[in-house]
Amino acid sequence: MLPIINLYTCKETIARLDDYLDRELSPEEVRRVERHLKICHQCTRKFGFEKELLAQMRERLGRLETPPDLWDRVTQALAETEE
Amino acid sequence: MNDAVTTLATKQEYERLLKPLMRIAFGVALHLTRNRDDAEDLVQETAIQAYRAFHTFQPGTHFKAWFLRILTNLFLNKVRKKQREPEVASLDEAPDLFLYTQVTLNGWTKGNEDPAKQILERVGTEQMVAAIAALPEEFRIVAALYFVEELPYQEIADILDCPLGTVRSRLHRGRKLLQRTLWELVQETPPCGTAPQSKGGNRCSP
Repeated sequence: MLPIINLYTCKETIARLDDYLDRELSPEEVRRVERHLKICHQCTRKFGFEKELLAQMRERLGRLETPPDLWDRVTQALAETEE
Repeated sequence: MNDAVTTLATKQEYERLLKPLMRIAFGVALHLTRNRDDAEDLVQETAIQAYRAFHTFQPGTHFKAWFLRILTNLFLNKVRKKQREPEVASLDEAPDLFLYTQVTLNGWTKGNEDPAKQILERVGTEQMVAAIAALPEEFRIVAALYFVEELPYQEIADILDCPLGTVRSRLHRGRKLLQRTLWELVQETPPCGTAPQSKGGNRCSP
């Protein structure tokens, strides 16, 4: 007997967008989301947009400049606490 | 003598674990405090407080999560001392997929160019940091941990000592608020090459 494939609707798929991008869905939910994306061009575009936006924001926010002397200041502060 | 040797070894071990965390700690502290000087101070104070509590750290467990928990608690304690009433999040939230809806309505999705890229070409990194800074505190803390270090929800929940569902909903609402702010910034900023560089404006280069 073939397994019953429950397809998500667009609404159910979009409701899982954030969790999908953050890899927080169960394997079964991932399969169902991806099955929907295979047949739904609209949702695929929406997911692609959000994925790209998130990736670019993280890329930029992840390379914020750290003050070059921060580590020196931290070690200095630690040394002073022992004195 | 033995005590001195033990202290030195403990300190060396502590510094070995701490040094690789400077970028993350500063990034998170910057989003929490909203300015570089306060962020540096927060990292320093956390380093001292964490060193004093280092004997409670369980070797083999997650040092980064342990350190970030101390950092966020220290920040929250400072904030709570300053303000009696916590910030209340605006209920005037954006709907789901707010940015996508806006770019579609404005015809940005018709060309070949990636609409997400078009948006971020108009928004500088400083403006992005300011957009996170504008988030109400409860969303800002979660967003700081999420965007700087891509921590999974469970790890953020452990750091903040709150349920995973709380992280999920704050992140979801925080993203929507961020999208609304980003769109406001985009509207204030003309596309590359259409206007002279203005204050905080045309950010064709990140």
